[in-house]
Amino acid sequence: MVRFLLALAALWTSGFLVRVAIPEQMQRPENQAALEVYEDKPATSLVGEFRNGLSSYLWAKADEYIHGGMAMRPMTDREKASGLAGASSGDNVECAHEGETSVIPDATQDTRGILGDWERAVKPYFPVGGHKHRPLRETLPLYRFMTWAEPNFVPGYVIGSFVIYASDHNNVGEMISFLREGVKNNPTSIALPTEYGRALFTKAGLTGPAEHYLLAAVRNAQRPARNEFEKDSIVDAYRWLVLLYRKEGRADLAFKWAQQGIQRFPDDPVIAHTIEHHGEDIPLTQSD
Amino acid sequence: MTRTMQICKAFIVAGLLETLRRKDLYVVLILTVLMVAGAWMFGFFGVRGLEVFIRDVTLSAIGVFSTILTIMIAGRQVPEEIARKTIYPLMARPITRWQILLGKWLTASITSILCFLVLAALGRALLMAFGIPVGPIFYQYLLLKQVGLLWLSAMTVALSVYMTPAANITICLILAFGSGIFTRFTLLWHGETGATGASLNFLYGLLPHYDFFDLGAKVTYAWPPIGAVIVLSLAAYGILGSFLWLGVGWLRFRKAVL
Amino acid sequence: MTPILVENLVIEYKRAFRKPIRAVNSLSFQVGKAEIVGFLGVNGAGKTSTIKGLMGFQPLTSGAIQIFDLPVGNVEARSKIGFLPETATYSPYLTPFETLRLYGQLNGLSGKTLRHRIEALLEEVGISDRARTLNRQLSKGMLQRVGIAQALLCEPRLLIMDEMSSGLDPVGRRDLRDLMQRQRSNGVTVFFSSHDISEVESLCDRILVIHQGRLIAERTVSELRGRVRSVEDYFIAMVQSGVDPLCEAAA
Repeated sequence: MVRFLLALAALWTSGFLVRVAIPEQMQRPENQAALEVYEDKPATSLVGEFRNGLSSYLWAKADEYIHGGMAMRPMTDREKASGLAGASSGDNVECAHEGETSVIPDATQDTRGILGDWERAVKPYFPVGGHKHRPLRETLPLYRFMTWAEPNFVPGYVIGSFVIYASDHNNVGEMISFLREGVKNNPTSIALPTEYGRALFTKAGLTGPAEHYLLAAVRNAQRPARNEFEKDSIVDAYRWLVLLYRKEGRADLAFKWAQQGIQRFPDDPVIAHTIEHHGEDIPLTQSD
Repeated sequence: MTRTMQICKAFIVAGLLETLRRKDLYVVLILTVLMVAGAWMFGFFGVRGLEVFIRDVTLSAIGVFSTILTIMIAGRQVPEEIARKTIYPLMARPITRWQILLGKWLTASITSILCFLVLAALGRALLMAFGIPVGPIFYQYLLLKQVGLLWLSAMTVALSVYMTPAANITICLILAFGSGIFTRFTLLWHGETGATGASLNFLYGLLPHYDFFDLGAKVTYAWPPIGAVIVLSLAAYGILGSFLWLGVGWLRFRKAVL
Repeated sequence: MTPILVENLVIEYKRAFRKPIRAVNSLSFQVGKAEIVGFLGVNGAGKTSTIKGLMGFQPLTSGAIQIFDLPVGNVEARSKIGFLPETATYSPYLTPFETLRLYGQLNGLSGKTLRHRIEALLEEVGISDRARTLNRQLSKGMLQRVGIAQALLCEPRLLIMDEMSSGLDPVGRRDLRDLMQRQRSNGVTVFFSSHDISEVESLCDRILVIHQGRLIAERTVSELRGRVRSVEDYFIAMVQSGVDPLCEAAA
């Protein structure tokens, strides 16, 4: 316990000292004033670039971890046109492999002779069709470090929380505290309060706080989304808010938010279903 | 041959003494202290589930530090003799310029390999202390890395006679750390055939492949050992490559105005 | 066997997109066995370039140099040469003993023979008490003594020294002169460059004067003593006019 407290104190002190020594450089670009600092101070911009670069590197590294160190890349147009079989999962790990292949080519596609054989021997390599993955939990430290390095890296928090839960379903508390940290660091995000609200609702059964964060996500969604990742979360925010109200039996609120949601996402089946069956007692289904 | 070995031995003994006294090994010690400190922090939070990450960090640190140290040590061997004019009493001896280059390469290689082995031993001890296994491939990693350092020293010593120390160190760092990246660019065209394909394969063969001597990724992810034939053929490739680099250096050094 | 034979030596330094600099121009001379020859000239006259040529450090643009009848740069010829460079710098991280051991091993010496030779030489040049001090902690004069010791290490038949007494105090200079005399009496040839005219006058059998890369005078010291008031005045007059005053007077 003493050792743990000492380590915590050391971490806090070093963080404090860094912030005291270079306060501007450690500022996060989360409001207009901070953004102006990024515009004016080259050092701040440089530190920001470094943090961003490090988190992106760790993000890419996470993919290597679950593939035993093997690097993947998107297929070229020529490879797609030639009908070359891309990578595919051979286990239950959810890993998007569409249009991907390994950086090191397969022996049948390789014209490098012995140099190719050497590379396949000394670097992690396996044929990518129907391949298996390493345990997801091995990537956990990467998500921890990427969000420490760049606290505004929203996908790091979202996917990291998924990995925490997927590696052990008893880790609900850790998942929620990880998401809470993300929400605190990214108050204008859409994806994080959505994910946090969903976790509180579905995993912890805390509908009150879940409602608060899902409403915050919808509120944030009134502003233009910062990127595609955030944009893709808007529909989830409406969907989970509607589902939460349905679960609570607050049909009017479910209908109200479904009506708002349908204007932005007319094809969404969950929202559409809620409007169609307004006034009926509709239980949540597996598809919901 | 005996005479050449005697000359190389003289260079190596003097080089190691210099290395000890100029406190190069202090750098290694500082780096190892950093590694221990990093590992100590992991120790606080527990290592369960972090095996791959700790192996990755340890082996990456060993790889990066040993590469930088090798380039710094090899990069100064000849230029420093020229800059401080100690090359003249050396050249006045009954030895050839080839023997000087060979002696300098061996001095740099042995010093670098010593530094690497110190780092690797410490890394291994840390992993053992955490109860993290590394498997037999670790010993293949040690062997191939040493061949890689011979090759890297040869490249750095050879290029040091063509350019200024700063330019040489920059280029060698780029070639060492970028070797895997540069060669991957040529791979994107691996569907090419005919003259284009042949040219790309030729270019690929020409580019330095320092990354071939690094089994670090396989150790990290606990892959099984690789075939002995591959290890031996890569060792031969590394030694042959070292002598090719030395030949490139000698082409310039044999007639260099000093 | 002639220790040094130089014929029509030309040394040029190449420059990118510009005319090369000619440092040595049609230089010819020879140095006989057990002779002490001083090589004089003002700064930039071509002394160091010539010495670099003699040692094989500098490629010859044209002409030829033979050392003991072997072409310049020959490894066997170099085994008979002791060389003292212009600037006496030795690895700052080695001691004089270790420096001499390195050079001795490169010369093919080893074991007790080498150790005894090093100890004797360090005694002879007067720095045996500093044998285990790092070179970087030695003064310029002491480093020059290390340089002299390394030049004598392989018992050379020819000593080539660039600015041999540079950095030495008056006592050191006198000791060095005595040492060179002893070497000569052992049949060693000494060829050195210097800016110290009195040293040249007291030590040399012969002097060569180089000016703008050309040899402008070649006289024995005994010949000069009878014909000029002082060797120093003779030298200054020569480098100012670019011709040998004695030749001019004869004309």
